[in-house]
Amino acid sequence: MSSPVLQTTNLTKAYASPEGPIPVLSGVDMAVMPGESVSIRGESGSGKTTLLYLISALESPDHGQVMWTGESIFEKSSNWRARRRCTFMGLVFQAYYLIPELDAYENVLMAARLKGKLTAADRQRAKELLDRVGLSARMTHTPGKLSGGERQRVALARALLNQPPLVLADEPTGNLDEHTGEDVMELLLELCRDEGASLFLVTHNPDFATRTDRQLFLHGGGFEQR
Amino acid sequence: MKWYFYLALKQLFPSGRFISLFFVVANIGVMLGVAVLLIVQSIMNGLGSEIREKMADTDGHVRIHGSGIIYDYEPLVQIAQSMPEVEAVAPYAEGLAMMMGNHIPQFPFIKGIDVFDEDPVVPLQQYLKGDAVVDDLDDERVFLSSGLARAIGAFPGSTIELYSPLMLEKLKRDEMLLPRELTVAGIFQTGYNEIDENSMVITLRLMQELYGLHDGAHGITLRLKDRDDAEAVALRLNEMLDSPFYATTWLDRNQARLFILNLEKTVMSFINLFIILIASFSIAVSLFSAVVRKTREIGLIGAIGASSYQIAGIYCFQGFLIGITGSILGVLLTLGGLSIRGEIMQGIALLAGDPTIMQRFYGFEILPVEYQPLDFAITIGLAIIGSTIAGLLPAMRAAMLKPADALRNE
Ligand SMILES: Nc1ncnc2c1ncn2[C@@H]1O[C@H](COP(=O)(O)OP(=O)(O)O)[C@@H](O)[C@H]1O
Ligand SMILES: [Mg+2]
Repeated sequence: MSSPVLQTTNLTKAYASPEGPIPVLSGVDMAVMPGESVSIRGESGSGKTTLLYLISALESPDHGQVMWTGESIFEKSSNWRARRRCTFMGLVFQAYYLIPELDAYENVLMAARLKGKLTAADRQRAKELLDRVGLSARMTHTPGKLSGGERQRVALARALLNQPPLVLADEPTGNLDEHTGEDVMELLLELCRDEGASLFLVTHNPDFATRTDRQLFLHGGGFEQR
Repeated sequence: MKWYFYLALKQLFPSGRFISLFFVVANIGVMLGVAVLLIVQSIMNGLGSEIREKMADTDGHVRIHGSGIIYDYEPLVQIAQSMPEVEAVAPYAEGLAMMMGNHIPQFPFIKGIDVFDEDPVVPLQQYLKGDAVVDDLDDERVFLSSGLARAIGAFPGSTIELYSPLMLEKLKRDEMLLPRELTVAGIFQTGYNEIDENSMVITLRLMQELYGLHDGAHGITLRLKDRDDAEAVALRLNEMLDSPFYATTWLDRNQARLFILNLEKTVMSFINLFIILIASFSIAVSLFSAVVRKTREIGLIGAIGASSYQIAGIYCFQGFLIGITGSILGVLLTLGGLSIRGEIMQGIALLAGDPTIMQRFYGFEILPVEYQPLDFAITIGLAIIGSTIAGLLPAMRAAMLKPADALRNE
């Protein structure tokens, strides 16, 4: 049996506020296996984004551990985490976050540039991925000339460029209409399956959630069974 | 290329567009600041050199003085002539006198020169107007400065009366000495106001007579082959000369005016420096708003692996680049603008309806300009430092953004 790509133990987080700490997560334990897709649902403010930030090490927990393929990440330097994150996970957000001055192809390549040296293989893969998401004809278009759905496809290609074993997506269809959201979600699930990447998907949509291997509900600071 | 340099360049030259408006506007700001500073400095240098040259020419590069009248100056002349740097030597006398022309009294500064020397120490000829020549000067004739001639309405051929201090001496002894009647032989204009305002030139012999100097002079003027040798020559002369004789340079004698010339340039440069400062501020403001506008994109770059230093580099590099390109444009504008300054001035003169206006008021038709490498180095250095610092402030702000906070910034 293989070990989990991602594992958390007793993950606890509260935000400080003038009225005292706001507890968000209290002792979350979870594991995602290689190639497995997991969906997280929960009410707004239940801590889904917070959980995503903790497992991607963009924020640090008050207690508990996060392990990337068995390595306890908060025992390492922030520099190590930043560099590892670059190749270990792909990130997709509700609001695309493409760089407006770069065209679609260059936006995808940004992931490889951040990793270090840009190789011919990176360029080749960027083109292939853009082809996969159906944008080979729009490679030289800047985000301003792309629709919301197209932008999110560029973001998907960027997230997958470095062949990460894990993809984290935070409501990736939240800004899209129903039909476009459907297409993008289809593409995300398909790409992750083809690439063998695990998926950690935050979503509101029960239809999308049922298409993942496992469904989790976040409530009151922890997962609840339904 | 490092990705942050790449991204900085991309923000200045975005895909699908030739150039960003910000880059154009920021460059214009730096360019204008650099050009105005360099143009003002170069013109100040040119005018300063012109004034220095006239000062040195009219004043004599080095002078030997004694205490009062020097009756036996021949040995001093020989000492001076023995020096290899010296081109010409001549005795002179100078002082104040009263004169009348057209019944208007004036008190000009008067200088007696040795015109019998073939090669006059003071290059008077080049300053004479019309077709007057230095040879026209003799014991009956006088050269007037342009300002003095204008004040008394004198022209070549007019007569004036010269009253000397010796007349007062004689009066005390109940003797009478009539004022000397002299003919105006020519009018000179050096372009150096101090002299042009109110002075006259007569022969040394006439001066000796009017001032009761007998065979004496007030000093010796030396013209050097290269006026930059003045201080070295004066130093050696002072080692050779016995008291009461001593040598001074034109620099010593014009210290106050030279100081003011330098001060003027410093003050003008300082004032114009603010243009560069303002240009830097506008760069800082634009980059700052870019950082605020791009908060979430910066957050994402941070989230997928960029360090704070690299993110800061994006904005610092933009400021630095604008400093360099703006400076290059500023230098080009300076050289280009000043190379057609003749045409520009002619245009202004034509607008004023008088093509000779520059010559008449300023004594030159084309503005004198002198480029000094140090001016360029300092100005370009300040422009680059200014715009890099302008990039540094937004860079720090961008670097301090935590990816998670930046991404939550909706
Ligand atoms: N930086 C923060 N400071 C204080 N409170 C925060 C901060 N970020 C999130 N919260 C709070 O934490 C709770 C969980 O937020 P979030 O994880 O974004 O929820 P979700 O993504 O499930 O809607 C919310 O109540 C939110 O107000
Ligand atoms: Mg959320």
